[in-house]
Amino acid sequence: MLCEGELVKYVCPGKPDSNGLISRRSIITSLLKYLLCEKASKDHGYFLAITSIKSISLKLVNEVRFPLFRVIFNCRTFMPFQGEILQGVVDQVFRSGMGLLLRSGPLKWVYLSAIKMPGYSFIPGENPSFLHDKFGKIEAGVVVRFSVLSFRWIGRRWGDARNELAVLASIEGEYLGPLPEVQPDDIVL
Amino acid sequence: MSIEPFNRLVKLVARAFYDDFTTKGENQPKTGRSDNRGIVVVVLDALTRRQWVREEDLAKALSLHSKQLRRTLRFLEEEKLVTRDHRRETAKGAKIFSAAIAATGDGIGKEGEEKIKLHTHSYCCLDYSQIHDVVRYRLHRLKKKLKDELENKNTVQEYICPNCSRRYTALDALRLVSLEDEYFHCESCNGELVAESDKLAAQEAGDGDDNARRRRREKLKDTLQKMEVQLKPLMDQLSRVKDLPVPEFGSLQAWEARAHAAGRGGSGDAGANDGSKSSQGYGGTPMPFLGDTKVEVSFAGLEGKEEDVKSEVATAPLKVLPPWMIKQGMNLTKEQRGEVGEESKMESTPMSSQLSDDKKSTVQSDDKKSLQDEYIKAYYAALLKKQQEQEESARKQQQPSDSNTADGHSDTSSSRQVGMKAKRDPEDVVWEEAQYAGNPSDSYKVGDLNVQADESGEDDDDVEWEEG
Repeated sequence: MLCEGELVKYVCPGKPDSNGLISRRSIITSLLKYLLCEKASKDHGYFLAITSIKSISLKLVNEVRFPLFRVIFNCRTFMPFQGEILQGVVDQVFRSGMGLLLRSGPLKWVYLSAIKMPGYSFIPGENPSFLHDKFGKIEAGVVVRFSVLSFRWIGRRWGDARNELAVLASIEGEYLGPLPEVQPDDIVL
Repeated sequence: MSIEPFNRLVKLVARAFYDDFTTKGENQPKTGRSDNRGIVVVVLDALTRRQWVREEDLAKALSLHSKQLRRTLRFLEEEKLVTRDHRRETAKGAKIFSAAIAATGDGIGKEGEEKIKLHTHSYCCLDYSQIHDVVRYRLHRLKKKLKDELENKNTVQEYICPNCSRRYTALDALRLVSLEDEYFHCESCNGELVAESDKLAAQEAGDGDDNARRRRREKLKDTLQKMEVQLKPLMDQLSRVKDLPVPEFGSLQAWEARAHAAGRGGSGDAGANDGSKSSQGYGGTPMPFLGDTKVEVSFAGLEGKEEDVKSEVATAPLKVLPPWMIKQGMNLTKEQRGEVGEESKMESTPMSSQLSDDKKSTVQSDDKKSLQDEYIKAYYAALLKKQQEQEESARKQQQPSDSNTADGHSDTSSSRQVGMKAKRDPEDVVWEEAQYAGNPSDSYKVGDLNVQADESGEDDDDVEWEEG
């Protein structure tokens, strides 16, 4: 779900210029870089965009370090919730037939287990897929509507993945499953 | 378009889902006095009897604190049961609303407030179409949640390592996926993890877990069954209401304009078609326009009303006075003494207030009155007879005096009645002597009160009375 919240961050824009001044633009630029690096937080989810700057205040000035600024701003974020219905694109179908991985917006780790796909049979091969008599085929690149079973914050526990949210998906239920008529680019959060 | 089935639906919903709602916070103490659970039921029931209503008026009608009511209404608005409208009003605006209410014949009859300042007034109204949808959705979600739990739809998938029996949830297993074969591998023994169904989990898990799981399933089944049984009346009402057209009052402004127009157009014309269509927004027999309900209260003490009272007293037909008011020496007609039966006004006093009652209620009360009157007449006639006999005997014993009447005091014990006040103030006797000096001969003269008291003692045998 898309949320908007007020966040407080401390940024250090760097060295003051020759006049001893630091521009507002540089403060905001350093804030944006910080958010880009962080990507997400446990409480707010993925950072999408800064909507407004509420205040900028000087937090710390000393000779040793560059000045530190306290920035209060409103930020739009994306946070999954249990029971939420989302749309995602199939990224990878496991050749083992255990399940498949989806991505949905900023979410990269959405795992749909084979057991949460009732009525679908696994078709192995070069391009593995899951097939249902009525609802069609689920293979890489297909848009799937799923519900969020559970999610977990991954801090620094996984190898390459850092500051990510891992989501468990399910397509047990009405109106869930593949959407063959929807193009991957048309997904709106 | 009948509104009654929808009102019944609202009442059932209030009692089914909101009977334990309280405006008190969780941490606040809930004493017997301050516990207001069930307030939602009261408010919703009241709203079924009204259309658009000002929240202040509703608070007064329900004898609720306006803050409490507002909190409840805010909750109901969040629950999508009630629509609210807030607007800044002048005196004119508030009066227009009051006139609109009167025009719909709700009988609230609120007179325009005398001092209206320009401030925000809040109005509320039941939103029947939303209520219908909200209730159906709520029931659907209740059933779905229980069924999903029973079918383990919300259970997170688990994986077991067949070698070391280590268990992983799907989220844990995700990070253990091997890039080569895309299987999940156990982090301790590197064995391939196997997904397990719920049946397997039930078998392989220990007894404790199995029992707990079974108990949970049974509890869920029980809950689902109870829900079906207890919510059956609500579900039946929903099915009845399903095909009926939903009553719509529209926005506050639209409703007000309609009601006002209906009031003007349908005044004095009961059941006008225009009135039925335009005033109330739903079909059914509209209330005949009876005009504004006016209440006139006349007090003897008020300057402006005194003359009216006097004139009314003077011109009204003579009323039969109760015996405790009748004193010796009073210039009363037989009518007043109740000897001749007429329409009784026994219960009226000089301090009576006059109400312009509804016609129907007057007719009904007259019927009751006539029965009561006859009984009262007979009773008083008997009392008067006794009183007369006693007076005669008292007169024989007394010395003739000029005038010694007591107004407002009890006469003898015969006129003393249980529960009636009996004053014996000697100072009043003096005042009354001056007032009643020179009464005509047919007035009864009472002797000194003290003498009376003794006489009353003598007459005690005749009258049985209980001490209070």
